[in-house]
Formats: sequence, C-alpha cells, structure tokens
Amino acid sequence: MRKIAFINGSPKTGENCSLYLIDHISKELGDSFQEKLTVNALKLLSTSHIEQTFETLLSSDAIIVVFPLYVDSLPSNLLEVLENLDLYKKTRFFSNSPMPCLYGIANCGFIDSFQNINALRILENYSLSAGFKWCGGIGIGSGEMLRSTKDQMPMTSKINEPIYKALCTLTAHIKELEELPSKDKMIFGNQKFSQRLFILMGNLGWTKPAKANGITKRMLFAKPDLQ
Amino acid sequence: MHITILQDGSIQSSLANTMNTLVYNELSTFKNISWYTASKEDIKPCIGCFNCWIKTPGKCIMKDITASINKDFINSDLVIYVTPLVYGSYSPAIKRTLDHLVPILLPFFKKIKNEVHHKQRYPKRPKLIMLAYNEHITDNEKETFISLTKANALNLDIPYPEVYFCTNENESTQAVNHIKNQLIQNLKEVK
Ligand SMILES: Cc1cc2nc3c(=O)[nH]c(=O)nc-3n(C[C@H](O)[C@H](O)[C@H](O)COP(=O)(O)O)c2cc1C
Repeated sequence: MRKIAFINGSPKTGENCSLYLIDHISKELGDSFQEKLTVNALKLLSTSHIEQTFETLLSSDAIIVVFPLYVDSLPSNLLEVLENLDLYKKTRFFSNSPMPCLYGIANCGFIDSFQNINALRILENYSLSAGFKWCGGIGIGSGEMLRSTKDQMPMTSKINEPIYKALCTLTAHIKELEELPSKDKMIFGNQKFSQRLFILMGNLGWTKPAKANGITKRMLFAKPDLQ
Repeated sequence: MHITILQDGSIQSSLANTMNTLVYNELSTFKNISWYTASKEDIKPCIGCFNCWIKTPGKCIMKDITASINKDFINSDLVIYVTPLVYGSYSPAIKRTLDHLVPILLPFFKKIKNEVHHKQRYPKRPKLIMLAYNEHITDNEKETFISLTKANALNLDIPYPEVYFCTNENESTQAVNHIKNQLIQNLKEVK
C-alpha cells in the first residue's frame, strides 16, 4: 500500500494557493497512492499529537511540501515544523524502511517563478540533512493571482499553461517516485503574461480591498514610526 | 549611528552561547544600539493576512515585539542579524521577525534588475550584516544563504548584506572583531 503526505506550509487561515495546488495534484494522482494525508504546518505547531503525525509522515513513500514564498524562503511556521521533524527523526526513528521521497512546490506572489529558487534550495539542503530523498521541486509565480482567478482561468487555461505543464511533470514523477528530470531537479512556471501587465494589474488590485476597510489610496502609503 | 542587533534566544548550544556572549561583549560598547532576542514564545508566525498593507498600513495587526523591531529597523543605519544557519536559511525564530518585516514594504510593485519587487514604504533602509553560525555548515548551505541574503537585499532595495559564517569559537571571535573594527573605522570617518 503506497502512502503520500502533503505538508501545507501556508499559514493563512482562509483560502490559500498551496491548498489549491495540493487539491490539484491530489486529483491528478488518482489512485496511485492508496493513503493520502494533508498536514497543516501551522496547526501542527500547536497540536498535542505531533509525534503521531511525524510517524505517519516518516512512513510515507512521498512527502510533498507545498508552501508560499515568504521573504525569499520558507515561512517560519513551515521551517519550524521541518526542523522539528528532522530532530524527531534523528532521535527517535530507528527504522530500516526506505527514505521517503521529498518534493517541493513553492508559490510566490510575484510573477517571476524563479524567485522561488532559494526556497527550493533550502528544501534540498533540508532533505540532505534530515535524510530524505530529494526528488526536486517546482516554483510557481503569481500565486495570489492563480488562486483568486481559478474560476475564470482554471489550471488548464492557456494563460496557466507553463504552470500546468510543470505540475503535470511533477505529478508524473511523483507517481513513479522518481526525481525530476530537469536541471538541478527544479522546474519553474509563470502565468503567460508580461511583467508589465502583472505590475499594472497588481498595483490596481490593492485599493479595492483597502477601501472596504476604510483605507484610502493615500493612507496606503502611511509611514508609521519614522523618526 | 543607530544599530539594531537581533539574536536568537531559543537555541541552546555552546556555539550559540559563545556567539551571543561575544556579540554582546564586543559590541555593547557602542552607543545607540537596540538589542533584541527573538524567541518563538514571544513572536507568533505571520499568517499572511496582508492587513499590514490594507487595514493598518505599515503595521502588523498582531501586537508583539516585532512592532518594536520594525520601528528600530526603519530608523537604523545598520542591522546585524545573529542567526543560527538552518539548512541554508535563517533560524525559525529569526525568520519570524523577518516574515513580520513585510509591513515596511508597500503593496505596490516595481521592477528592479528585471525582477518584480515591492516599492519601498520608507525613504531609507539600513545596511545589513549577517552573522550565521552552526557547528556544521555545508558548502551548499553557504551558497544558499548568500543567494538568499542577496534576494532579500533586492526586495529591500539595499546593497548586498555582508555575510559571515562561523562554525566554532575562533571563527566567531574573528567575525565579531572584524565587525567591531569596521564600526570603529566608520565612526571615525563620520567624525
Ligand atoms: C510575510 C510574507 C512574505 C512574502 N514574501 C514574498 C517574497 O519574498 N516573494 C514573493 O514573490 N512573494 C512573497 N510573498 C507573497 C506570497 O508568496 C504569496 O502571497 C503566495 O501566493 C501565498 O501563497 P498561499 O496562498 O499558499 O499562502 C510574501 C507574503 C507574505 C505574507
């Protein structure tokens, strides 16, 4: 019986792109894994049965770490869970079972998917240090846009083609528990529009939700605490 | 010159003790330093709500020590991060302070060096120095961290940070003394 575990590194309480990506991959994987588990990294930090979850993660064939890029790297809640898992594995896990394969999916706010590179490298270093088999990862750009327009522009739409392709390659390799075939085992996928258009749309997008909070465009530029 | 120094208080190793003591002993002689010890108990993780951009612009809605760290950050000439190096990343406690630094950026985008980044909320940002320590540091971890700090610098639109790696007491002493001498030199030049 094959087992797969997703770790969702998004600390958001509501909808998040990471979960959207997990759902997509999970569906694409069909029944190639009989057991599937999704763990929320932030919730795991405050749960009392953390060891039970760690045991489940460690007995999986594949662990997929899915997360938003925070300050060019892993969000603190995810970093902490991974470090705890590493420590747990080193002190408690005496088993001859094979190392789980570890894959990463980083999504960032900017359209430039390659900005996820440092986060994927950190995951690679992590795998080496903690004793997981690093099988590679993908970096996805404009995560907020991807998630918030998912009904108008589904994953299979023309505009999301590079992201969809990256996800397809990843899914195919997860099924076989294989490493990604690309350079440095990394693949990057952007939505198909220019940086200029992204900047234009992005800059327009903030004023409306701010207004709902009673914040005018001018107030968005506030400089509190400047001495 | 206003300096802010951030240390990680949650790591109990002899190198961490050595490093934190050295930094305190050698640098506390300078005037106008704001000291912070980041701990996971005092700082909750950022939850990505973006209220710091659209509800309370420039401020996080969680009230903890990071509000004061951010205030010192934007009013400092130099910020020194003394961080355990964890898989080529900052440590989780230091990372919590960095994730909470996002309010100092504007939500709006611009292009820097052919990459999309945020516009800056404040006219001035500090120079950064990174003191990264761990008994074991691989070449890949070093490379990752240098690349990460450069990416951080692009996001803050500042020069690339100075990075020191320390795996033992000797290297830590050398790095801290180097920083100290540089500061003395800088202060002389300012006078
Ligand atoms: C604290 C914080 C730091 C962030 N840092 C970056 C960054 O360095 N680069 C980037 O492109 N996006 C950055 N983002 C944007 C997120 O990566 C983006 O919103 C992502 O799509 C969120 O994914 P999620 O919905 O799965 O949480 C940051 C967001 C937050 C809240």
